[in-house]
Formats: sequence, structure tokens, C-alpha cells
Amino acid sequence: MNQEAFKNTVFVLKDGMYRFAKSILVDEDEAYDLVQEVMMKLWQKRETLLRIGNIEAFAMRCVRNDAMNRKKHAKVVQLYQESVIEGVTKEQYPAMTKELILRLIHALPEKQRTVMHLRDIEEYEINEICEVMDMDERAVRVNLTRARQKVKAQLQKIFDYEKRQINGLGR
Amino acid sequence: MKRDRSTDLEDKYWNGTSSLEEERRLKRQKKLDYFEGLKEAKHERMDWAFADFVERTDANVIQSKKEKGWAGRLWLYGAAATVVLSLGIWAMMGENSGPEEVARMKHTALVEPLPISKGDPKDEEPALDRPAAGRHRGRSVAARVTNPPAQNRSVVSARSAQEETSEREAANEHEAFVIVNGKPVYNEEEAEEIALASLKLMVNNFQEGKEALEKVKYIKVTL
Repeated sequence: MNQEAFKNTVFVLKDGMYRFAKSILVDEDEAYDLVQEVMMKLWQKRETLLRIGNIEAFAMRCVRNDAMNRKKHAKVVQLYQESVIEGVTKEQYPAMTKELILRLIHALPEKQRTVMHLRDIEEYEINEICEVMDMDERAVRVNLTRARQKVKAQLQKIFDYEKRQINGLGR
Repeated sequence: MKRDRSTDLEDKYWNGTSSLEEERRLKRQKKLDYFEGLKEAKHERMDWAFADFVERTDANVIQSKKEKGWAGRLWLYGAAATVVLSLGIWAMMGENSGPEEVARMKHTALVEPLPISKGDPKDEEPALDRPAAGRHRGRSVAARVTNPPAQNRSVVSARSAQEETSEREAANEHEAFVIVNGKPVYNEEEAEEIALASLKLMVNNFQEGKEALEKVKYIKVTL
């Protein structure tokens, strides 16, 4: 695989890989470094990539594995998640923005978060998620349902909060 | 009716039972902040140009080449050091055997002069030729001359001076100065020529060895 082919088949995946890495690691710089490292590894294995059916799923799986390894050595995400939960319980909601949605997804357990990210942001088919996560379809569906239900519940809280605020202002 | 279908679709979404196509349609139709937020999240880009990536891969290649080059050179240095050590040991062994050989030659020349007059020079071959053969194994005939450089020449000259006084008087006019392949050389000039030729050959061999080592020192390996 030459440079041009690599650019068109692997390097073009960098944005999705970055978003995915960020969804796990939260920290932008760390996600950036991780994608660079994974991309270098893929470049070194570029000849073997030709034998892989779904390069995108393979690349995302590499990102996930590396990110999970990093996460084991970092408490950043845990602290971040705690701050998210704290923010929700204290009802200090920001406006319904991309950041809030990502926060809610980040606050999910790892499998649910990964499945929801791949489905709702990267728009992967279920079988592609199965490949990335090394899970069967049923397990992916279950995780997706639970993830969405939790996000919906959080959104409901936010909606109720905003409603109370509006009612309060109206009085 | 249209509104109901869209609500059903939304329910399917939250229950995780909708297809990807249905979800895309929902995102297009439902202008909810939530779906807008998801769409926006997908537009986040990583600011990394392909040129930077290529630069990084090139840097990696150069670095790995440097590492390999250093490792290769280390191997060469090791090989060169082994050669130098071997030469050193060989030289030390040569030095250690030198005095014994000189003493033996002295003994042969002064105490037990070659009994050429008895006729068979081959009888004397083992005494002088063996150590010479050991040191100059595989060399040419000239290199196998048993007369080593300076000390031996002085031995030869000392021997010739003594012969002139005593042994020549005893009619031993055929004293051998050097022995080449078991054949004694009685002519002094010829013996000197042979000794000089063998010395030149030895110097030449050392020179060749030195040049070969210099080549090893400056050799370059590209992988």
C-alpha cells in the first residue's frame, strides 16, 4: 500500500478515530496523541491492512484498545464523569448543546458509551459495531437501548429543570 | 398522521430498535436540539494534515535507520576489535617464541654448527625449519626463511665473525648463513638478499593487514 492509497483508505478515517478516542479519553490532547500513534502503527502495518476486510472497523478497534489501555492509567475520565454527575444532580445544566450531549454520553458506562457513540455520532451499522467491539448483535442492541434510555432520562431531568425555571420566571 | 409516524420513529430510536436509515431520517425531520447536537458532534474534525503525517513517518524511518546504522557500526567495531585483539595475541605469541628461537639459533649456530661436511643437510632441517614453518605457515618460500629480522641478523653477523676466526680456519668454509626449505645458503651476499627479501615480504604483509583494517574502520553499510 503506497502513500496515496493509505491516505485514501486509512488516513481519511482520522476524524472518526479522533472523535471516538475523545469519547473514551475525554481529553482532546490525549485523543490527538492516541490517534497519531495508532495511525503510525497502521502505517507500519500497511501491507497487512490489505488483507483486512473492514479497515475502518479495524482502525476503530485499535483506537478503542489503545484508549482503554491508556484509561487504565488515567483517572482523568473518572474525575470528569464525577463532575458530570455532580453537575446533573445540582441541576447546573448548560444549554442543550453538543457539549451537553457529549457529556451525557461520556457519563455512560464504557460499553454503552462506545456503542452509542459509534451509532449516533459515527452512524455505524450494528454489524460494524459488533466488529469494533467484538460483541454479538444482541449485546450491542441491549447496550444501545440502555444507553439511550439513560440519556433520555437525563434529558428529561434537564427538560423538567428548564420548565421549572421558566415557570419560576413567569410568576 | 405524519406527526404520529414521526413520534413512533422517535420511540423506536429511544428503544434502540430503529434502523440506521430510520435514524438518519429522524435526524433530518426532527429539528430537536438533541439530534442537532448529535449531527454537530459528527462534524468535529481532527486538525492534522496528511503532509504532517508523512513528515512524521519520514522522521521515523530516518530514526530507525540511524538506530540500525548505529547497531551495524557497533557490530563492525566489535568485529574490528576482535581482529585487532587476535593480531595482538598473535604478535604476543610471536614475541614469546622469539627469544627461545633466537636462543636455539644461537645454540645451533655457535655451539652446534651445522655439520654440513657430514653431507646430508636434510638431517638438520627439523631443528631450524620446524619453528619457522610454524610461524610462517602457508607463506611463500621466501617467507619461510628461518632467519628472523634484527636479532637473527646480528646472530648471523656474530656467527660469521666467529666463523672467520675459528671455524673457517678449521676448513669449514661451507657454513650456512640461512636455510631455505632445508637447503643451506653458504653465500653471505645471497643470504643477506634472502633475509632482506623475507623482511620486505613481512613488512608488506603487515602493510596489507593495516590497510585492510582501515577499510573495515571506514566501511559504510546502507540498509
